[in-house]
Amino acid sequence: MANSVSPNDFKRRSFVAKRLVEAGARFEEVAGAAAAMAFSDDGAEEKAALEGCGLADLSPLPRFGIKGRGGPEWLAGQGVAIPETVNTALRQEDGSLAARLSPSEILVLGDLRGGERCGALYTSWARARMDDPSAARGYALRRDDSHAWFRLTGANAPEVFAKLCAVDLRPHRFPALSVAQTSVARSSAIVIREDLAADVVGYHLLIDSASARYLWDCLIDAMAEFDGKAVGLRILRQQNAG
Amino acid sequence: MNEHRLPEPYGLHLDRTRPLSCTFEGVRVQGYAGDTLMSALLSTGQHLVSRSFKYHRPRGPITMAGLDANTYVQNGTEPNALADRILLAEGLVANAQNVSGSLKGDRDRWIQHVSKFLPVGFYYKAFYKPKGIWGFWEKIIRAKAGLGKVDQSTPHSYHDKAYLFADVTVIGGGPAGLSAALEAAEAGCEVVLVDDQPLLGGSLNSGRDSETGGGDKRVTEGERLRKALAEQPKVTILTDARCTGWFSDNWLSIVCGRRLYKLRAGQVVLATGALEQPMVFRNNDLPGIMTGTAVQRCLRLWAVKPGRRAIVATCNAQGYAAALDLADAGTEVAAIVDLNPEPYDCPERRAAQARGLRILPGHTVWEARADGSKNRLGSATLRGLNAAGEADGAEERIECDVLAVSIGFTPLAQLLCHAGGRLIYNEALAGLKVDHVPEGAFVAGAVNGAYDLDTVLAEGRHAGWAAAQAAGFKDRKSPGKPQKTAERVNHPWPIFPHPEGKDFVDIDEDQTVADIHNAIADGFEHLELMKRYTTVGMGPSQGRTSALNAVRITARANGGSPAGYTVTTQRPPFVPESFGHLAGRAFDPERLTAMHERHLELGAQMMPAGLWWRPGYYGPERERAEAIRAEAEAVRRNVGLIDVSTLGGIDVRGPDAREFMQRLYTFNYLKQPVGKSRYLLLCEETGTISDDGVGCCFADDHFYVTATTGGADGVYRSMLRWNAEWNLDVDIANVTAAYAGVNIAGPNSRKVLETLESDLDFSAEGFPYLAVREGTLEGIPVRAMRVGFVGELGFELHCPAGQGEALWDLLMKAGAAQGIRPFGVEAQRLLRLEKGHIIIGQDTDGLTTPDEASMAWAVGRKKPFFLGQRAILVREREGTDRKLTGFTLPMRAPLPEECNLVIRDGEIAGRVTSASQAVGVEAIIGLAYVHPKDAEPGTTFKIKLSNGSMVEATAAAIPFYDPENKRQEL
Repeated sequence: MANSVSPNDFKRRSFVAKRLVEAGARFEEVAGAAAAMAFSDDGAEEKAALEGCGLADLSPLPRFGIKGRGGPEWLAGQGVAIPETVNTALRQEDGSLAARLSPSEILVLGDLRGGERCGALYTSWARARMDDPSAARGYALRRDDSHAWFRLTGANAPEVFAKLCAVDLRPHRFPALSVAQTSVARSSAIVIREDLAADVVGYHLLIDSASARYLWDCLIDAMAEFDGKAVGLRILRQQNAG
Repeated sequence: MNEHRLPEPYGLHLDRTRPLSCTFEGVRVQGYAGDTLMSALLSTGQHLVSRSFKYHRPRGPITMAGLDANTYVQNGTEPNALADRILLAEGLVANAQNVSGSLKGDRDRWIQHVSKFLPVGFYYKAFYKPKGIWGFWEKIIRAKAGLGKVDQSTPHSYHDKAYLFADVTVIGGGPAGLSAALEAAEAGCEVVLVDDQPLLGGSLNSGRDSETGGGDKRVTEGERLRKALAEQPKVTILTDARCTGWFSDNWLSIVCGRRLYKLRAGQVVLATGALEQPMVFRNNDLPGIMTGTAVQRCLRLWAVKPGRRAIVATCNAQGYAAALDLADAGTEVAAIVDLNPEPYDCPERRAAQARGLRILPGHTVWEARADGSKNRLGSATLRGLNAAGEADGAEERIECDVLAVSIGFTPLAQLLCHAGGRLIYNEALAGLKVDHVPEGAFVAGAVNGAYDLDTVLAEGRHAGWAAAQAAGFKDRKSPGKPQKTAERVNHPWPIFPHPEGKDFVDIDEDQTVADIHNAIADGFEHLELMKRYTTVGMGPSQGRTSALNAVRITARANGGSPAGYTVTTQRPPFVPESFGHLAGRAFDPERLTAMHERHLELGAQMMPAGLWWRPGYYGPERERAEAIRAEAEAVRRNVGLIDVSTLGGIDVRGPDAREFMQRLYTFNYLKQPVGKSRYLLLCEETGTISDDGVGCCFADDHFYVTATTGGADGVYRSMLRWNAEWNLDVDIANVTAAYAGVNIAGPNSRKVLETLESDLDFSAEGFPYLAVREGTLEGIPVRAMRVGFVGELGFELHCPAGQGEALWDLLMKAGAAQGIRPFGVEAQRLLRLEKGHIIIGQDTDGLTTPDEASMAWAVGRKKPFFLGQRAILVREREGTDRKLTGFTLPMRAPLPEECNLVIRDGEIAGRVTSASQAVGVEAIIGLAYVHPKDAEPGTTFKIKLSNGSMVEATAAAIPFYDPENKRQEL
């Protein structure tokens, strides 16, 4: 499978684009950026890795954050189902995910297709602010850029985390749709557990975008003993659909 | 099969289908998979494995449990590896350490013959007289000091760390530990069981059944428990793993292979057992003298017969069991020396008697002697004991090559002591006993003083159940408390000082009974002082084989009983940890800007700035000075581009944003126009400058604040802290990583920007100095600011980080026609110096006030309040003895370095903070703290250079370059 696009074809680029290229990623355009779709032609290697441990870069996918007085209420008004409890997440009907980071802070992760919901939320918030600057609707945050978005998945993913993070993220201690705001490899991180398929544990990992390459290298290193590999968005979509 | 290797079923650890060979001291040694280096050596009849630390006496294994320092060897490049823990591997190469010449013929063994002249503490009293002699002794001592050699060319080996979690952790996989783990698991707990042996079972694998006279019951029980545990889904078993420390909140450090586990346990059951103790008599350190349990380990675990003819010295059932085991294995048991006046009554003693073994009650070993090789036990002299337990009776010398000692145990409770537990000498038990168990901890088995197998198993079950209860698993019924409690297995005084010495108390450190007596005579009668003076207990074994006897001897020498004595402080690690484990897989976070790859492609020399990497300059290191100068000149004369993404970026949004800025920073922001930026100076409450930056007012309720690269996180924290106190209606978001930034600077910078498609007007009128705008550049959203940090027409462009690389590419491409040049931090530092802009942290320190830094202009005097205001006013009133001033030197003068001192009347008056050869003016320019009287432009002052010479500098007004700011009118 030849690469029809490369990260440099777009203005928005993943924070680990170089690593993805080095690992032989096949890219496709998703949400105005090159997303690593696969790392092999038939995906068999990735499938095997996924059963053990796979790391995907979802940074090109849209995400949105809002923080401050009135933020969650405004977001609810936009049709986003807001989790009631801090440090929990709710899956949305369109496949996106809303995580409550504090009573007044919500993080929305877009769906795996790269849908427009997050972009629409940003536009809508900016327009509303222009129309009525004084209303309490929280403050939009550029989560697309402040945070890189990785996904760690597979049976060994909890063991990989155990090498990097002091929080017990094993499935029976960290239920699906739990959120941990913690430190991974000594770097601040948000960990959200969302399993895309039954019996395959998976975590979203949101980390400081400037530390993305550092964290990517740490994760790849920690995965090595489990034969973990970089995986593409394609297999995650299949997992999600299946 | 050689005569030292026993047939099956001996050798539980061995896989006899896999013969292996290694090399020790250049000699090939054969063994099997499952052997340790030590057991393989023993299988050739060799006990000698090391030389002692001080006297270079021959040494062999004592415990065969990796708990004595006698088995330290150099294993390849690894020093101080325990031969009784090194698993045999094909091709393994090990050597003795701390020997001069060969192990067998160590040239330094003569030292023991002058031991009389090396009494305890001699090094405190010698070596410094006469004056100047230390230089002579130091060379000799350094040459002799240390154990093992670190090979500095050792290739890097991968070690890492991992967290583990458990409701209940059980340390020790013997009978107590196994039954505790099973009980806790059956109660529903998640259990981690840690054992230092390759096979769970502990004494079940190596001990002798009291009732059956073999190992059957123990073996069966071991198999049952192992099988039951293996079937428990919530049990994690770590074998060959050593718990080295027990810290607050049940945080346990566990070394296993090349990994250091950091285990968080809800509850901890300590079932580490007890360690059999040496007996003190002359030459009690000869190879061939080992504990009874070590003998049993040799036999059952590794099928090694430790000798041909044995003597067993004992006072308890354990010794008789060891004697029977030796006899069963074909070793001639020449005598069982029972220290009790009457033979100890137990099934094992009766069995020994029935087998016709010679039992000598009321006797002891008085002295051991070496054989012809001088490196192995050859005989033992026995003596009768009187009613007071003194060895003054008739002597008998018996030839033997192994002497098994079973005169008592010490609980292996060091880990418990790390966690706040306590060991106290108990007179009834004639030994140390766990006296205090901290919350969240439980003890079971021999560590708790229980030795009878049924009692040990029952203790384990109860401890496991109790731990489960404490962990919240309360449904299971109690298995009941064991009826029996701690039993006495120790002899109260197995110490027989010899007039000719060599009666070692601490075998690691070659310390004898006389050494302890001498320390006490020197006034170090307290146990902790005695320890430090003699070093008893300070060797690698950390008192595991010496503390008990040291307590007894110290107590008696002080004229009292050891009752109530505690052992000296136990500190982690329980057993040595390698540097590899401690270093592990180090995590050193680093931050890269979106343009990082581009800098590398352009040949940048990257330099750290906090966690960030920034381009220092572009080009080879050898051309550093030229590169910096060329980059600076490009900015002065044409156009340059610098990555400023590392600058802190903080969005302050909300109705109270202005008020917040007004309170936090020193300047005035209430009336700052929208679309304008203003300099920011942040002070601490003490009036000391802590950061600076620019405040961009994008709306009445939105300030975009920049901070220094290193100070950004601190500023953000400070903002959150102060707003928690002020409770203003603002939201504070650290967007440092969210925005990438560049500064395009130089007289042609506007020309470059104007070639790009943008909704921003970059003209002088449309975008005046200090203006800020939001717009797009070729579709990339940007926050644009007219800035003058480097003193030229310049625009900072901040865009979403994900598009930072594209922005860089765009500008480099657009500027190609103009000859745009990237410039790094070094050139930027020079350019800002020409402009007289300070760098916080370089031109300020932890005490600098705005007044001292000549920044009083940035302080809003009429404001009712700002952070640090009161302190600034007070400090201004008190006056200052230094002032930051610009200075110049002729272009050809020597260049001062940062921190060169400013000297006034022979005293230090200040220091240079920045200095460089300028490109914008013909001079060396710099900033320095000087006496306020010398700060007046034109005044001269002296700078002491790094080579000690003095240069005369002239105070100068800043900025040095473009003082009228004409460049900003472009």
